[in-house]
Amino acid sequence: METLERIRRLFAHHSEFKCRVLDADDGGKISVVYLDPLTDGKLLTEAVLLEIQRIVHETSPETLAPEQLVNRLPVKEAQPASEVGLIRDKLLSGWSFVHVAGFDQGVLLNTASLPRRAISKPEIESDIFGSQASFVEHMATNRALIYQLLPDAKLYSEDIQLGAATKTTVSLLHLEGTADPRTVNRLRERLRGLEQVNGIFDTLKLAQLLDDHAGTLFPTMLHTERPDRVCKKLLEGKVALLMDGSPFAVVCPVTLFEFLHVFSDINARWSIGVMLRVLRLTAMFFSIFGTAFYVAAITFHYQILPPELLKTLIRSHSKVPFPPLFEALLLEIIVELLREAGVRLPTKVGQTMGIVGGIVIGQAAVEAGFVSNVLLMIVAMGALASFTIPNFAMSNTQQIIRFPMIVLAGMWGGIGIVIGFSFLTIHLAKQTSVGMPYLQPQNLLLSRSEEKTTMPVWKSLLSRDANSRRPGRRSKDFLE
Amino acid sequence: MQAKGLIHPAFTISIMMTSQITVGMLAFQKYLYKAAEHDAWISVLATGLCAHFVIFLIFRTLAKFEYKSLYDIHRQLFGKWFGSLLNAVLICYWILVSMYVLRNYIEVLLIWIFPEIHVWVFEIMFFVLIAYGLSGGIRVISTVSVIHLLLLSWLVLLLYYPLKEADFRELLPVMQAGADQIFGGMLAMGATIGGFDVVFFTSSRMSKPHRIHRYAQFALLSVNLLYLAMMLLSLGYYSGKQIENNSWGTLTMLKVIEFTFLERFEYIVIMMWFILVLANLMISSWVIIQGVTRIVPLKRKYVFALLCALLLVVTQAIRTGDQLAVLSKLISDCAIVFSFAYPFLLSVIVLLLSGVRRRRKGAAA
Repeated sequence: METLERIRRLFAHHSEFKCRVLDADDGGKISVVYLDPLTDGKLLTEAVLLEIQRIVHETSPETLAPEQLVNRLPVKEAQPASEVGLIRDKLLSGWSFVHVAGFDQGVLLNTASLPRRAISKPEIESDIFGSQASFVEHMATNRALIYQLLPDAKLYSEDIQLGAATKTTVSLLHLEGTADPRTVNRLRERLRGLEQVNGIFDTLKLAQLLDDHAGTLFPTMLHTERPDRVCKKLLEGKVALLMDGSPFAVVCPVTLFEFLHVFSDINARWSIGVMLRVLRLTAMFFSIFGTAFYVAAITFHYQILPPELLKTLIRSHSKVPFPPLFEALLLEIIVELLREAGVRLPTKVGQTMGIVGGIVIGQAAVEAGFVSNVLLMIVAMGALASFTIPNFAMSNTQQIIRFPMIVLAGMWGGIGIVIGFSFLTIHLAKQTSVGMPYLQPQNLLLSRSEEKTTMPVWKSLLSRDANSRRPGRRSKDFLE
Repeated sequence: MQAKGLIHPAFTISIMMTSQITVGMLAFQKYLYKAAEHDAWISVLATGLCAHFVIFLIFRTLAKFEYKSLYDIHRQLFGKWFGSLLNAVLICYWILVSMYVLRNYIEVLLIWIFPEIHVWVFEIMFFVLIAYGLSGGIRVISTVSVIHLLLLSWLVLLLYYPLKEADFRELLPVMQAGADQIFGGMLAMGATIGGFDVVFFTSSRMSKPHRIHRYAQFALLSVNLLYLAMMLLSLGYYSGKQIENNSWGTLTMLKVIEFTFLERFEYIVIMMWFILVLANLMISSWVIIQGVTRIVPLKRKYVFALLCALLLVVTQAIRTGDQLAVLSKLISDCAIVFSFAYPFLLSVIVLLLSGVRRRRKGAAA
């Protein structure tokens, strides 16, 4: 009785704490305690309460011993328990506790029914073709999604609890034999080191806490909401982290280039996929350096522009009272404001705001002689280019690093840009993602596993591979 | 030696190429033409062949010493004191080379783009970036050299424009220059192409060292072909007088390029050359630091700080272009000695010593 009393006292201030008491034939009492909103009411009634009543009527009191009860109650998880701390934790995660008067121990039963939402379409990494499932906040569902695509016994998963208060479960998934054991060990150790953190609510934060270098702006772990993408990365020998409560999985180690990949690229023909990736790489380059080029050319190096082009630029800039550097920074900040406002507002208002704000402010700024037409165009193109980057974290990074580039271009012209660029290359060369160099070229345009699926198409064309199963393989001579 | 810090042997290509193509590439035609006139391309070819032979000798020496750094080879061969003395001489040479590269590139910047900025402003920028790169060690330096080289590689395509204008009848008649003239051209070319001796130092940090040799030969071959193409192109593009009076043969050649949105391409090339010079200086600073820390037990960052201070002071002393030209001549003579003559000498010494040792062993037995 003492255990039960202590639990009651623990939950004295919890209105959702319920205690159901059943009478046994011999006058003893059987108590069932649970937290109401966390438990499955139907399961509790049918598998626990009804079952206990049946046992009480049919058999002798000895069968009510906890060891016997564990075996007789049709619940998927059950264990005898007497430790108050354990019982408290289990009750808080939706289990119920059955205690029969006269015994020291009671029985813990998994009757949890936590709120969950249905699987929905991917919002951020949406695709026209391909799978339309994305992760949800419930980890068991996410794991089911992954095992459904990759039913391999070598897919190991390991749970680690993080956070003193939140007790969030983080699951470390890897394909044994494919993934580098050093990476797995390193991640496991780092996760263990995080056990004392007060609370983690998202994998975005988790990835930052597990990073190799805290001082970089670049994300070194990839977030994805697509189960198929996680499976593909697992096949490539990467490690995935799932976290309860977060609809994003973290994949590592990754290279810079993987942030520019979209999953459906590999579903297209390899030439189209590679072209799209090259396009995105160019877009990233332009969005970082585009405005800086304009500032440098107008401020210092007007010689490099042909006279006709220079005429257009100067005519457009001549009405503006500010130096190009100030003009560019002004416009970039306006674009940033529009973007941030667009993210914060509800979708319907946001679209209107984006169009009206963009056009009205842009047009008015040019007419008022605040900024030049050409610059407006370049900045808008830069913003457009940055939207093609499929990863939101990487897109944010670019937004930030273009500002120092513009300032450097305004200070030292082309040499300033080159200095900024060299700094970036050195910085990126120094980064590692869980020990793997961030700039390793193996995933530049096609990763290893993609080579196995898409590369043979042209390899067989080039090598006239006799084993090619394609009917239309290249013949040794012109056809008749 | 732990396997942790080792890099792939293919990095030899980028490390060698960045060491060989620097400011020399922007202005080497004049000196060759002065020596060998319109047969200067034969000098380029001959120097290239010599360089291939020297690389072969270098790797024979390295293979005998298990691909150790040249600093360690010296100590092993000549003992602690004389070896350290030789190392000190080598370090001085590398300091001179990095000073030559740094100051000449800044000279280009001053002449073409920013006449009003002080030399030390550029130098500080270089030093900060180099320090940032050096803090990551050889792995970062080699990665950066690859990226920077790849980013510059497309510039080769621009040579199409001067090629359109070139008239290769200027090359005729072939073999007008005498052997002494060709040799004079080779001396001028030797300084430009020198710098491949960097493999003496980087090889110790690579995995599978037996594969470095072929990468080194490949890198040298591509550099040679590039220089040969440039020389042939310049001979066809310019008349004799124009080459002789033009200090920046490569840059003025690029002036001919015009797109509808860009012209004066030499500006862009000069600015992009920054990243190549940066990679080059990182490698030579790394070599210097490797040497100094073997002689004096100092932290690497302090060695680099001292190097920066030294370079700042010395380059401040150079005020006029004439002084720079004199210094450059001196350094190019050193480059011939250290890149061509010394590896040859060293391999002969190694050969003799091993012969002596074998005979001694034979006598003892």
